[in-house]
Amino acid sequence: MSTNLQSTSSEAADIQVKRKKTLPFVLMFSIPAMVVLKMGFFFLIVGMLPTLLTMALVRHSKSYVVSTVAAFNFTGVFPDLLSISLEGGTPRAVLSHLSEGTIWFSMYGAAMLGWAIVWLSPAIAMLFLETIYRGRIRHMEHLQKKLEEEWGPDIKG
Amino acid sequence: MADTHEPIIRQEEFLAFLKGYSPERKAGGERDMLAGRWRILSNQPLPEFSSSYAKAYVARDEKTPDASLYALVFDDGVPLRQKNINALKTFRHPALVSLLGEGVAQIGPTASTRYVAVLEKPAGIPLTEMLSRKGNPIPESLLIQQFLRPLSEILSGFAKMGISHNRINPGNIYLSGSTIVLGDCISEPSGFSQDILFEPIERMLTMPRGKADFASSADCYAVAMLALHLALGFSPFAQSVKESLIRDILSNGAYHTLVMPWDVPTGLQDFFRGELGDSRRDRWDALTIESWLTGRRYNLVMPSSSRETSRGFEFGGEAHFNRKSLAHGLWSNWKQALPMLADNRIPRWLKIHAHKQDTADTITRLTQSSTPLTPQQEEEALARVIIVLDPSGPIRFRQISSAVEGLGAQLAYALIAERHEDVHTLMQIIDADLSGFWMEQQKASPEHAALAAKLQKARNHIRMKGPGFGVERGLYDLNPGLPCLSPLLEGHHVTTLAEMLTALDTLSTQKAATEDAGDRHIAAFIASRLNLDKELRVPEVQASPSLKANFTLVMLKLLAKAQHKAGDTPFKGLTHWLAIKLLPLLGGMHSRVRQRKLQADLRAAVTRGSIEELADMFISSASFDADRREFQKASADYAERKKRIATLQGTTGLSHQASVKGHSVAQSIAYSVCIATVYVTLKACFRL
Repeated sequence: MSTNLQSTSSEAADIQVKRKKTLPFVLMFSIPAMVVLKMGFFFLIVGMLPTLLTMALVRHSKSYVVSTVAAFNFTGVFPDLLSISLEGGTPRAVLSHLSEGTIWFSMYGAAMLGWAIVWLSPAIAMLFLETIYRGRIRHMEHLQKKLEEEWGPDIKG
Repeated sequence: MADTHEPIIRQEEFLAFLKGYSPERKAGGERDMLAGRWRILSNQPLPEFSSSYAKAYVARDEKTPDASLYALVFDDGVPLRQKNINALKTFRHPALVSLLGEGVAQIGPTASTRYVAVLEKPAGIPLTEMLSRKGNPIPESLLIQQFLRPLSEILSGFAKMGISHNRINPGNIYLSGSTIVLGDCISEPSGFSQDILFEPIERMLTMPRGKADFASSADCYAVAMLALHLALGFSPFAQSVKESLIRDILSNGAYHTLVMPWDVPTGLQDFFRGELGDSRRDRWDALTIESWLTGRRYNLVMPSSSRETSRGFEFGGEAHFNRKSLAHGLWSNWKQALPMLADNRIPRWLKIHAHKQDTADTITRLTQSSTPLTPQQEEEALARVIIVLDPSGPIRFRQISSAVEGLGAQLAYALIAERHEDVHTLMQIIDADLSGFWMEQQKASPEHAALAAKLQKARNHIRMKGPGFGVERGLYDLNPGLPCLSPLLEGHHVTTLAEMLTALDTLSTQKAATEDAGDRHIAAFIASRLNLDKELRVPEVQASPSLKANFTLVMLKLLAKAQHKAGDTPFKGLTHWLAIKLLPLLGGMHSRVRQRKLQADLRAAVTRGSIEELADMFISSASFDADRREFQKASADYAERKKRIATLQGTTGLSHQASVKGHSVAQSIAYSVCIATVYVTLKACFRL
């Protein structure tokens, strides 16, 4: 119980720190983006909601989750964001894109793909590492056996 | 695949070789035959020519079967009068039995190798028989012509060769018609069985086995005593008790005790006065006797009495009127004499009554000390006091009385007879440098300088304890003619390195399975013959605790040196014997590969009979050291790798690593996909 309490309080403190660090960066990025993208900025915020959600939920020590999800999420948002910008960044253009289901699917699907990769990557890496390590162990055991043959059982100490 | 743990050579293989092995060189040749010429008839003993050290048998010369000969077959491991033997091989005199041949032969049904000397058998009867008939005094002219002249010629010849006889007594001189023949002098150590009447006082006081080998003046003295017997026609002191005779001579002098009571021819008086003086240096030598025999007259005054004081020193129930007598009294009553050292009575008596201030001062210096003397120091001090009182006498310490030159022979006897107390006392004499002190009291002579150096060297060697040194080494250093006394070589007469290797080669067929190929005696014998001064170590295996003290490796090194010195003759039996003892050492080697290589090399080396090759393999090549070092490294590698395997097999570490690496890869993929998408989209829009 006390462990949980401690964990919760440390997570809260973590988030506080993250917010403090992220806020100036977001502001510095958002103001030029609003100028350039105009109403496209609204589209960007809506499209990048999964990333913002992830940022809010995930601890600072797991920044790779945010960056992976953000990169995939941005991959899904960028083609339509560019299209909106090229159309002048008008409210009409934003609404017309948001009214298409496929656009929502591509933006949020890409973010979900990021989540899926984050979730699956350790298992896949485990599979690879196990194979590599097994090979290494086999090689070292072979060397140990050769030493035993050369020096006898005394080598085992 | 062959089992690498399986040895390729087993002891059984070497033992099988030795079972069928017949050495090419065998010591001794044909049984009961010396040098292929003299046959020893071991079933015809001659007790009258035997001694405590050698048995005499009838011998036959195959070239001249009619010659009357006898052979002396020496007991196992007895010291020989090697210098005399070497000199007498060529020395010939009609009044001396000739030494015709000598060497090692296989004797008796056991065919044990013994040292044998073949001599002419003297004809006639021993003079003791003539003297026992009594009442036959020999006239002066006949005595001189028939007895003294030939004996003096022999003594002159001996003196030139640097040897002495020391068995001149009526029992060893044979009379046949008008000629005499002096018997052998090699069947026992110098003066061992000599009647004390025929020994001067300094040798009377010495134990039979501790007499000096070379004592020319003792021969001259013996000739004078022989002349006294012959001139009187009987043995004048046959009934005398040894101890009382010694006391009389010490108190009154030899001339006064032995000659004065008798009516001897006037013409012989000078001879007796010249020979029977109490000082060794003043006695006539062989040349002076020859001059006297040719007619030169000396008109010597009668030797003065030995008394040095009118008031005797009361000790041991008698009064001693001179220093020699007191010295003998102190030794004879050793335990009672020890407490007397502290009370200063002896220096006071010497100063006041004997007027020997210097001697008194020396004794005071020896006995007075600022700190109390330990019991051992007290005993050493007493021995030194005795030397100071009687410098010409033997070294006397506890139960031992020995000439400095006789210490080696005495030690040899004590070791052979396993008289441990005597060995201990002799070791103390050598260790306390009593011999050095004795020599300081003598007038300097080159003979003594050489002896001092020899004793100093022996003492150093005795103090070292490793194989090749210790008491055994002292024994062989002090007795160069002594055969090796190793129990292993029982039945083999070994006096040279070549003989030793041959004997061991022969013994390999019987002893390889159960015995080591050497012991401390063999090691000391080899070290003495090779004149090794430093303890033999095997530096190549010093780092290995199990090997550095290994006796077989030290023996291997010694035997290799011996083989080299003996001319590199192969000894296949001995190498197989050594290999059997070395095989277990190979078992202690860790590397199976190196072990198998050494085993293969070992087989090749033993087949060639080269001990040096064996030594190279085991010692010089430093295989054991390399094996130890490489094993340590391999052990460290093994342990390190074992740890790494355990780490790789652990699941906790692996899942963490997989998580880190997986997320890192995922991040990289995400960035790549994002950049690619941005690039492709921009390219499509702007037709880049």
